Amino acid sequence: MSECMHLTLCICRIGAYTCFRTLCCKGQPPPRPEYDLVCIGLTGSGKTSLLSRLCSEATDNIGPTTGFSIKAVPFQNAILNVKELGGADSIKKYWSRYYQGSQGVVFVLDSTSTDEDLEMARTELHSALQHPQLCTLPFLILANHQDKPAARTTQEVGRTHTQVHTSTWTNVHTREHTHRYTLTQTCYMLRTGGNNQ
Amino acid sequence: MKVKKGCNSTDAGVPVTSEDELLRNPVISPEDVLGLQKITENYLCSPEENVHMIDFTRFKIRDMETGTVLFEITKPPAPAGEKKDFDPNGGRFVRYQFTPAFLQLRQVGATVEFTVGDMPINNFRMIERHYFREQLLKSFDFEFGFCMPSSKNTCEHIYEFPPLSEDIMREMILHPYKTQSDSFYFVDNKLVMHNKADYSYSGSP
Repeated sequence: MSECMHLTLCICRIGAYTCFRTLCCKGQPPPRPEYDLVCIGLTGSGKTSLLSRLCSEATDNIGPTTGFSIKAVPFQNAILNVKELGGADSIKKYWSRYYQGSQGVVFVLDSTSTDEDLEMARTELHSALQHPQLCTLPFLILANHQDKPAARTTQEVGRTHTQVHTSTWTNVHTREHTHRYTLTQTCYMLRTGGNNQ
Repeated sequence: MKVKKGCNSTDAGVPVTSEDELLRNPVISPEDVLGLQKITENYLCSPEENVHMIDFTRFKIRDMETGTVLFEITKPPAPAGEKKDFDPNGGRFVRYQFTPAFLQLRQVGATVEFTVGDMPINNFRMIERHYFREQLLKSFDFEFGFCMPSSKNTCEHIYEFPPLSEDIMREMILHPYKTQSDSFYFVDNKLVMHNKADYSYSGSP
């Protein structure tokens, strides 16, 4: 439960800075605000599973996403319309066709992946960070599969992001118009108990 | 993705159109169907016009407030080599049977899963119009946008139920299948598919 709460709080914080809503006290409560997000990451990182779990759906028979999957993920204070894109090579090349209209990005990576795969994830992440349609948006980076023994910590994941592409990272952060919130958060899927973690 | 919730053609500033007029056009556009004031008698395009081989393979409805799945249907894969049993419009019509409680729902998530042939699709758009008898209840306009070639895609959009008076709800419950919808699908602003559905809220077949 704590991982889910953390994620909820993070996403609400990110969403809140772009939008301010006045609560209406008359009549029915106002419908929850909706935000459009894009969710990317390499194949096998766990994007579909994470989103399915957040929607209280079964995660047993999930296969690779071979296109896009748009899901309305409900939270108490908001609904996130997440456009999740498959991570296979044949699909990655189309990612940028889906960036327009996004208000935030969720990037999922497998914390247990090999150095080579982490390097590939880093390349894709940096590409997204600098894309004209995403470069001013908040990013939530989820280091998934934390339950596995080989998982890297957030610090290690964060470090590897900055190691090779330091200059690019710095440029991204110092760009005047980029008031970007980037949050790296660990997570994993609980396989037992059916809790929405 | 946000659904553009229009209602009447007058709100959208679109001229009123009729089925007969549209059937005379070589191409039917989104603006054309936004002007329709009632359910069509006929399909406005033939199955052959689905040149992009778009195929709907799964449909699910859930209550957004509780997460309860209300309805789910999956299309069985067509057995290889067998000739399809011939109603050319067989796959284009669905009859829904709900209980009266369905009309009390405020927000419903409808998931549709579809596959696409080996051509990429630049601009895939759906306009769905729901009527009770001759009254337009709600019009939904949803842009899927770009679809990758040979892909399988799912999309959940949120339907907010229009506010319905007690009188209308009572009538809808008493008259099963008089609530009907037309779903029009466009690629690059040209109609390529037209599906229909009707609805009962009386709780019995």
